[in-house]
Amino acid sequence: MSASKYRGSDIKSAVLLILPTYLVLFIFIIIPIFFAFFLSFNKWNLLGSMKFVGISQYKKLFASEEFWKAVTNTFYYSFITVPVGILISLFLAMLLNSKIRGIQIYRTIYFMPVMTSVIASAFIWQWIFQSQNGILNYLIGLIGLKPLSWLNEPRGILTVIFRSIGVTIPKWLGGPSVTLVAISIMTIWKNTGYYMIIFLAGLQNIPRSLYEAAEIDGAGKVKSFFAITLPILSPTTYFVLIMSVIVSFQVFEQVAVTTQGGPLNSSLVLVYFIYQKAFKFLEVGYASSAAFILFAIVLALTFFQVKLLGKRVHY
Amino acid sequence: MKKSGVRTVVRHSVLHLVLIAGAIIMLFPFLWGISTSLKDMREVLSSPFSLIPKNITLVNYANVVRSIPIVRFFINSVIVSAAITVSQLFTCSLSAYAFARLRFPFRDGLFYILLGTMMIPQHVIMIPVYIILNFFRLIDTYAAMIVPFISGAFGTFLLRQFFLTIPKELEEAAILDGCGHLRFLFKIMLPLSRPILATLAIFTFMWSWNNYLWPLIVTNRIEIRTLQYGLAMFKEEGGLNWGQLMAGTTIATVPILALFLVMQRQFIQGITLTGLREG
Repeated sequence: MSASKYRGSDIKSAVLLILPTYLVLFIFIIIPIFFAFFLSFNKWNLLGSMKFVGISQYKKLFASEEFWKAVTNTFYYSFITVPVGILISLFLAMLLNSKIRGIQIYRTIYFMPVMTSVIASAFIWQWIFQSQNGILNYLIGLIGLKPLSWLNEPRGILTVIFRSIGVTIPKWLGGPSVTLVAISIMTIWKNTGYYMIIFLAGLQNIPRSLYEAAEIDGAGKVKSFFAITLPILSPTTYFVLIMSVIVSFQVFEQVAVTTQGGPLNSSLVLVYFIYQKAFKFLEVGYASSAAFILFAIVLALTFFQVKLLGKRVHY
Repeated sequence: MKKSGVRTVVRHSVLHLVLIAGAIIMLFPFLWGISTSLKDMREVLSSPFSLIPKNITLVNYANVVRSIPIVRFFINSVIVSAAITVSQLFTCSLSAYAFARLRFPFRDGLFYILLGTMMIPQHVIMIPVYIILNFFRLIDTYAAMIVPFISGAFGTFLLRQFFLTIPKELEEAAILDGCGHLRFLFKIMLPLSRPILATLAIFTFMWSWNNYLWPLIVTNRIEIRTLQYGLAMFKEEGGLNWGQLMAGTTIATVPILALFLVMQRQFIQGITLTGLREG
């Protein structure tokens, strides 16, 4: 045994090997995160001089109705897209996990939206959602429903539903705007295939013999789903849940190219709020404070899930 | 025996029905987009709707090609995505090898920093990154779209996990033969790691091809716009001509879908590999 734990040549090689990656991480992630934190306490318009303002920009955010609208909308968006997305993708994965013909074709078709860019999918859906000449309104007209301005309807989805049966509900019970729901629908369409593939891989790892044993013990399909499938699948579900919550809080492109947060800020989401403040109004410091609140929300939610659910996951 | 055979047939038929219904929902937007792109302006706005155009016309495609440099956008997207992908494969292989095989001071600490950076959303740091690129006078260049992404924590992590599964004995034999680390990496490790390299390449390429936010922030000149950004500008400037917009969308989408159809086995395997990393 040599006196040192390390070989000199190893250290030299290691430094050279990790240098490019750490330069990138350092310049484009680590410095920026501290810089962003610093900016969030300073007022700056990118051109003039910077002015230290303490936590006043955070205060301004908490007092801003627009900001709360963005936070609420982002939570709504997450509450819709995450559970619905997980249920649909798990359901599809279970269907595809049986030995039937054509499974490859289905898998390919369900995965195609994942490959499509958000921009392209948003354009196609915007066309589908058009209030005039849009095919969706035409289709719902066939079953006797009234047309909706899908991407231009600030009223809450529940308000609209209850209104159609003649009931008026208070505004705060209205739920997310129709526009935000429409944006959620296109996102679910786009992302389902991705999580489906991950669930499918998890399902295929469950040994068939377990189900056979359960069947011999007289357990039905439903029982073996809850006793075998769900527990063994729990690490996968856990991964999908954490991933999709993180992704949902970063929604931006759908909104940027279809509604720009409108109408009446009813589809304004956090990242779009940050983008607008920073690159349209050049309120760089203010935008950075909002970005840090976004970061804090995502970290808190992830931490919460890890603490709360991590122990329940069976590995 | 016979009874269970009938039951299987019924069960499979129901399954197929549900799956086909799902497939129609998934495919319909694509078909509707393509169909619209092949209709003339009058038919686009006419009711009742038909999925198959009455008079198939390429006029929308011609108009797109005439009004924006879509070929240029396409080439720009290829340049940016290819540059990012190739350099990520290279730099991530190097750093992953160091973490998987070498012993050096602060190795674990550095690795935790790397994992920590994966938690930071792009949107939190986009303003400082813009300022840094501006400081180096790189705004409005290809470099601004490429350099921040020439290496990455995710790629390093993914490759390191795979390198750890390659038996160490191989390395000891090679080093005894006088083979240096670099030669060992390129001659032995990387050829053994093809599936995971393909995964990383696919992910990186797909991500950069579809990236919209970054080119939007760091470029102004029309000549260096990528396809996604170019398409979005086309919509904003050209008003809502759905036939043309769908033609542009089709042009932007077909290449990546074709790439997927050719390499779908690797894609799906790749997703599976990354999805199972926690499990």
